[in-house]
Amino acid sequence: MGRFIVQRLLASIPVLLLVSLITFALLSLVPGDPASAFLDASATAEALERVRRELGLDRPFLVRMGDWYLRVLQGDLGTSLLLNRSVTSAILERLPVTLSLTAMAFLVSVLLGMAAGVLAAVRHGKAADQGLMTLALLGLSIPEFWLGLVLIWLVAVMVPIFPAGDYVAFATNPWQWARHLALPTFTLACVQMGFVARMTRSSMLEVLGQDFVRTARAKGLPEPYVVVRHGLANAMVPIVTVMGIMVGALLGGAVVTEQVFSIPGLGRLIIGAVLSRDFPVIQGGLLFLALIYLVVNLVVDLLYAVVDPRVRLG
Amino acid sequence: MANAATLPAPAPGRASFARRLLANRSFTIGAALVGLVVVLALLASVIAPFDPLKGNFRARMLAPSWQHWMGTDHFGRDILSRVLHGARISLQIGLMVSLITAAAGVVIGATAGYFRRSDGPIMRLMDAFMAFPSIILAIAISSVLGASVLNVIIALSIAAIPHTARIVRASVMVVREMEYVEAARALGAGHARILLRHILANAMAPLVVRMTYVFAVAILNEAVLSFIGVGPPPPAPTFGAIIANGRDFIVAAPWITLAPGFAILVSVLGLNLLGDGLRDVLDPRMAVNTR
Amino acid sequence: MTTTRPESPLLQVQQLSTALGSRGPDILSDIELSLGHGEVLGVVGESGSGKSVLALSIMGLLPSPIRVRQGAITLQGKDLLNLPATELRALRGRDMAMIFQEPMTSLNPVMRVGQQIGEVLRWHRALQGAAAREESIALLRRVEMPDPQRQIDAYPHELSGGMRQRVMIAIALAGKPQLLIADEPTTALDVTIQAQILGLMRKIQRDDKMSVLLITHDLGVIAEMCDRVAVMYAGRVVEQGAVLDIFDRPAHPYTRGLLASRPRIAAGAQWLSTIEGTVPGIGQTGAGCSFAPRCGLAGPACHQRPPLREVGPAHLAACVSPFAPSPDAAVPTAWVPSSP
Repeated sequence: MGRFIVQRLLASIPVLLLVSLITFALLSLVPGDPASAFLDASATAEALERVRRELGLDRPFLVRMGDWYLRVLQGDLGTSLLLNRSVTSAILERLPVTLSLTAMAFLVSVLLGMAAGVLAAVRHGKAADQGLMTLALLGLSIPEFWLGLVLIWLVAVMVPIFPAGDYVAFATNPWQWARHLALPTFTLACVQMGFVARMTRSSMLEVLGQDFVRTARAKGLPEPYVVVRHGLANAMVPIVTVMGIMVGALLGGAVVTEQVFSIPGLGRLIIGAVLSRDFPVIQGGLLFLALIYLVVNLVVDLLYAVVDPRVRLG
Repeated sequence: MANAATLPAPAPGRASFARRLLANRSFTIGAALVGLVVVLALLASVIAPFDPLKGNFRARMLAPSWQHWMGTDHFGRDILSRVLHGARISLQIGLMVSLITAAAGVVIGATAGYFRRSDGPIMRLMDAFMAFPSIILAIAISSVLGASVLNVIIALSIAAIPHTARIVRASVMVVREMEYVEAARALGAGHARILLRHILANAMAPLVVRMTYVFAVAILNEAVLSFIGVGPPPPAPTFGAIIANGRDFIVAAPWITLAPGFAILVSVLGLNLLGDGLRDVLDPRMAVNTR
Repeated sequence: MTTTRPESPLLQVQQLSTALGSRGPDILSDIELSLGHGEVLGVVGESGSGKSVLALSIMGLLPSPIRVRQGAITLQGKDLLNLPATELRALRGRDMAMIFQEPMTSLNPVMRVGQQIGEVLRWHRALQGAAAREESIALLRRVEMPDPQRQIDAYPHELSGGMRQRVMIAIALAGKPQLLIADEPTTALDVTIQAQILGLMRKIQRDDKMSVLLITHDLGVIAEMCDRVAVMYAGRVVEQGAVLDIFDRPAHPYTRGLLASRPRIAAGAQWLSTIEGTVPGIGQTGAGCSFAPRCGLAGPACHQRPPLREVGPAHLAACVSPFAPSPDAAVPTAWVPSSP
């Protein structure tokens, strides 16, 4: 197993290098002068010069690239033009917020989605099946940010059950943390739930028709046990393989959801940077998200080996 | 990673194919919804009762009525007209993104799948792009390039191409190994001929299904970009922009927010149903991985 | 090997008909069978004869559109078709067990082999933990699995086809069943492994005096394993009797055809005898004898479905003009209708 981990880590190095390169290259895509994109038209010449120097634009391309790689390896993602502080520290400060939102949404979408998928598969062709799948389809067709706004309107303003936004740290007050995260989590999980439900259903339908399920029934085992221990245990395997992609989509959705619910996480930081053309923060944030995604994928690959013994090496 | 392409189903006869397609409920409902949206969008300039960009201070924040079917916003602009024009913009962008993604995805994916030596580097590059959540990548590229319809199209395409390339590559790799390709090669057919006639013809099915989903995602993502503020610049009446406007007035005038959202929902739902129907008819075995 | 009809049969199937859906065509039609204690009954027929459906009907495992239309299945006096689901489930895996044809796909790929045996022990014999593990190892030893201490923790994909089938047998034996239904247990295995598995099954059957319903298309397996045999064709039993009787004096034309079509090494080069035509599909059998379209002896009397009648001691055949066994008749070497 250890060898597997090392192999995967080594395989991800070229991807990491390319990811860094892409993030770095973003700055070069800016049509015109990044400095004047950041400051506006009324900026003085010296202000523009200052910004250009901060962005390192006074140095040749290859030097900049080398410098970028060196700094990234050390964890230095530059300085925010707007906030005048280290990008890395700004990101790390907000990371727990985004991670808790993403993690909660992941749990909710996997648990509820799988439950819905299993139920639909077991009641194949009946009303429950069609109803659940229609809900799933609606769920994945709905624009997340709009759903968030509608939910805020309905259950935070019209009928004030939940708070309309903001964030309370878990350490400060667990109950309020949960209350504040409830709507954003549901909004974020909605789309992925639809996916998981559909995937689980089709995977379950395939598995339930297999010979070994018939063997399990022939042993006289109770049906719910057969559905879970023999059915779901095997149906889960293809779903685990897409969990990495799911987390990626959730991270993307979290960025938008934070904006809607005014949650001070990494997403809001990035969007703020996008709107104000704070390039170091855009680059740093992007790189960080990609890193998280790559780590998650490594974990998913390990999880896949846990769930499917046929995949294990040696 | 999940693989959406499988062995290609035997090519069905033309007549029975069309019949099966029309018999598939998912496809027909989806096609009807999409058709409705397309028609309305195409005729936007003709049937919109008001100028989407012109405000009327005396008609601000009016609830839906016979005069204004979807009400008016804080500038007095008719929401229905704005939504109709917004649909046109969304569909234009969605279509362009689908076409560009399809073209680039085929070129990249077929190259990687067919020419083994190029596979490694090309796929590493695709993996690198896929390491960014696609919406974030689109936001970043769009913000860097500047706000315009063209830049949005470029950004959304770049975000969608890697996954499409991967699907095409998988199809190509499967078909490449099949015996009739070996036979063609033995008969002296050149690479290009093999690629075009045999391999790509069979990679078409998963590609077409994928394109309906790409279209749907493009509409959703374009709305996000506009909502955040990096989409087509104002005063373009994009869905996202209308919703962003309506956000501040959601209590006083919820219709501003609700109308465009439902429009997005209907369009995306229709496309998803269409894609499901196509997939069911073309190759039910693709049903595990969607979008 | 006994040849007398059992007095109080362990399993009795009466007038069993199954069909496809509530108004669909019959798959099984008026099946009559009985199986005594400690007896091995073979059910032989080509693919499409309905043998597997018969097995699944007895176990209560018919897949959804197929259902029992009429009839009775009695196991030790209990009416299986009218038992409440929970009671039937208690019988399954305990009093009656089944092994299937495809060992490659009949085991859960993500569960260790020992755990799959342990499920039966836990559920039907209330064995847990260490006791269950010991018993599992003992069962594996009994089915002649090499190195059972280690293999108990193996996953199915780590085992060969023969070993997996041994595991299936161990699972079946775990509940200490009185009836074992084996649906083509060796068909998917290599010939040498087939012989081993059959030998194993014979040994276990003798030691435990277990009743076995052995389903196969292979007459050689029947000859080796069974006391009695029922010949099925297109969802009907066309002949039934002791193995020796059936092989020496086959009465039904279909049985004669089956026996004659076996290739024999000793006979030297010869045209293989076949039965012309193909097995009718579901719903394609007419009102009369199902074999009539392919039978060289079919006459006007065959337009009515012939009942199973005695043609010898404990020997039944469903034919209006079965071959009357003459004492000096040789085993048929070609399908040539002899004068009735």
